Amino acid sequence: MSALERHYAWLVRLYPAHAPRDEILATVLQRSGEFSFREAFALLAGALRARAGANTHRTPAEFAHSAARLTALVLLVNAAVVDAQTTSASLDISAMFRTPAGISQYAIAGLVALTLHTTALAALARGAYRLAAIGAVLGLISSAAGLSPPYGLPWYRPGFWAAPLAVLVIVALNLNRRRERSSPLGWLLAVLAAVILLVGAGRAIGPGWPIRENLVLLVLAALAVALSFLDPRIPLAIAALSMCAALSDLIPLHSSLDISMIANYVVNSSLPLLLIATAALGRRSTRI
Amino acid sequence: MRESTYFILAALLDGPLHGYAILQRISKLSTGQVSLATGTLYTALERLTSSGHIHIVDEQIVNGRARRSYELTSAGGTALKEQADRLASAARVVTERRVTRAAVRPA
Repeated sequence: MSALERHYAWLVRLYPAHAPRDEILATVLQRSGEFSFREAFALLAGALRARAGANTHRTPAEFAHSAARLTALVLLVNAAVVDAQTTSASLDISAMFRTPAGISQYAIAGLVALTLHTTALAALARGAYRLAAIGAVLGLISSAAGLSPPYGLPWYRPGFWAAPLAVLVIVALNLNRRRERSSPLGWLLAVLAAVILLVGAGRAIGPGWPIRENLVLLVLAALAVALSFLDPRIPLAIAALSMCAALSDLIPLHSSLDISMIANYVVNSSLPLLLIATAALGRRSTRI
Repeated sequence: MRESTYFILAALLDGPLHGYAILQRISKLSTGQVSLATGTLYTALERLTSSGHIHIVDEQIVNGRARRSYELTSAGGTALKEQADRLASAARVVTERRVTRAAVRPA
């Protein structure tokens, strides 16, 4: 195997197993006598599109359904991360074994919500929409209970709105079921890794940064815009996340506003619109 | 319809072709103006197969590697013809106007 064949073979292996890898490799080798960055980039983009299922033709209705499913999955990931934070912040394991009353902790409700949201996530990824709806509704109830005191009313908590929005989207999916032709596992793992890493990075910056809470969202939005040419469903899913942040800012209706709160609100409320516009542009590029 | 799709479908008008032959035919039909990268071609072929514009007619093993041939379907042929009519109609907006202006120019 020549060095040229080795380089292209490495890129072609990024395609999923059902793709005609042999044929793609044979064609690119026949085409180019030397390594071409244009060919390499096209192979990389093609492999990512094939992995995400973005290389499949979808009618507008099929696209809307597929984007809604990805959005619901991303919202469930966000809800599960919030549940995990609630649980890890206040779970007193030793109290559970000391007294029978030790089981009555808000963190336990968070743990139940985490389990239910994870179940809904797995069910939705496998196409079991009804089970996903049940898991999401029960997860929302548990999550609201877990986020109540000592934090105050749950809808004041950043991240709370992921669970109710996920319920709304999953109910809509149940009302209009369609066969989905792609597996979103790759994108989900990428979103999960991004959320966990970026939440850590956001915390490391510390207080005093005016839009610290939005930093994670801004980076995710920038990634979504960059990846919209690969898969226009991504900016729609991230728009839903930014809508959660906008709702968190809107609902408390603070009596006094400072510059950082105004900055948060402006960024949070304009991001969904920007991302939806990006998705519309990306969708045009996937037409036949 | 995108330009690349138009040329892929046009390349298959004379019969089934495999990936590399499609690229060569596109280059010839467009006199070198359209040059698709291999990754772009296979993404387009997948979309066109899932939309029913083309289908796989043959799969052979050549030099130890599988090679599939793609054929235009009747739906693909119709879509190509409609696009060609649209392009011809759009071209006439310019070409016929030029003739008219030349015809009415005073001597």
